[in-house]
Amino acid sequence: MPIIVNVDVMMARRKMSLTELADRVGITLANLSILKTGKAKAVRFETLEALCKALDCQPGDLLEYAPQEAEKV
Amino acid sequence: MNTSYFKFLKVVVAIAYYGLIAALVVVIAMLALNYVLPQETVRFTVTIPIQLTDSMSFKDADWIGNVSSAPYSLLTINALNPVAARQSAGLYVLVGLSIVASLGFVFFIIRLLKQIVATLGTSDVFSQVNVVRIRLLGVLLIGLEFIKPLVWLLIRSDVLALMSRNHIQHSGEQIGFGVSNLTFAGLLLVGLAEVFRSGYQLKQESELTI
Repeated sequence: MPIIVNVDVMMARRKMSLTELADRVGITLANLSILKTGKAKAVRFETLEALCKALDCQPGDLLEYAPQEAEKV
Repeated sequence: MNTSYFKFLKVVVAIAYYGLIAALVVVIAMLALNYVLPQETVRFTVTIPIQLTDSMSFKDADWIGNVSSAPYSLLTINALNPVAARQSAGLYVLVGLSIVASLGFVFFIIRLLKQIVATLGTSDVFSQVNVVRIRLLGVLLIGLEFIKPLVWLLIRSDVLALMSRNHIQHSGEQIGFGVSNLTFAGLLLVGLAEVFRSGYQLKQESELTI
């Protein structure tokens, strides 16, 4: 997948644990883990909005497009 | 979700499944017993793809045959003495094996159906394994169509020799693999398996949408 999810980077910057973020965003730990490990196929706008709100960041801070990864695929 | 309907369906399929196991066991036991134990007389019926001029019955020292004329004729073989019984043993085994093979085919189909029905009402309905099961079900239904011609190829020489020995005239032989409702049902299931695959992919996407 050429889209890289940088949730873990933002979590580290905000010094926020997985459990705390899951609580604030309102999703399960399992789903947050799927998102963090890049296994997710899609992200709902409302989840993205909640993540941005909880981590005080922009969608671009959480998602990154890596063309090299796309070429490999 | 209509769980009572699912339960009813599971019970119906389970009855068919265990009934078929019982039938398979009984048929194998009967065939084995008849073959192993010395028989004075042997009687069995076989469907043959031969057109006979008209209905007939004949009788001589060894055989009594009742033949009904149709596109597929029904031939009942009665061996009335031990010598004739021994002569018909080979044909008896072939016909018996074909019956067991047909029942085995149907058993496998019901088994697949049981496995699919068992996933109803659970989150595993749309799964890769069910896609494979439905496709296999379709292929097996199409395969059922091939059993009759294959059996005929196996027993053809024996039956024709028997008919020749007893002066039974026949006008035509229908060889070939016909296309029947079973074939269409099989093709439908193979197509349905692809629909199921799309359902499985949608389910996966839905599950991995956060």
